[in-house]
Amino acid sequence: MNEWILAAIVLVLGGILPCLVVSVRASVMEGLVALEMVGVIAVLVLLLVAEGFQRQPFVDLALVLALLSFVGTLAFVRFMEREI
Amino acid sequence: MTTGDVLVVVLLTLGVGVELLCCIGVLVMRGVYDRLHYTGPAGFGAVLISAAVVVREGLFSQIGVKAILIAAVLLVVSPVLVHATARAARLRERGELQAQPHEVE
Repeated sequence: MNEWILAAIVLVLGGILPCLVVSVRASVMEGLVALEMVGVIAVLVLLLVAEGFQRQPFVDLALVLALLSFVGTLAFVRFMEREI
Repeated sequence: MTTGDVLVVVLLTLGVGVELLCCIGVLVMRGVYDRLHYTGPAGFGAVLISAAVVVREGLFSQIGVKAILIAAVLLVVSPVLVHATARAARLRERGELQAQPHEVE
């Protein structure tokens, strides 16, 4: 295990778990904030894993996820503008 | 351990630390607007982690160029998302964006 994989594990445990707690326990809009945060963390974890396992072509996944999580969150934001 | 290795470890530690602080902020704060303050700096953590990758692999390697691209995308996108989310939260709360008379001094 090298420093990249270690950083990825720390990010998954210390980054995604708190956001999961927020999205389960808080209101809908606060869950949306947690979703934004998890999007960034997931992109960075994919980047770190691609570098840590020396599978450099797989870093495309991180780039695509960065763009798609932006579009996905904007769709959620648009949907949440109105009280349902 | 060369200077590059030390720089990589320092940048990685700083980047992961910034991300963890952002997540703890999102967890601890109460209310949408308070939590939103902590999603903005996540782009800077992405810049630090991408810098670590660039230091290790070189600027013009396949992963180096894409790491810079990822950092640029996250840095541009995170303020846009914060703005859009705050706007949606206010619209959901009040039904309109216009400031109320009692909110203006």
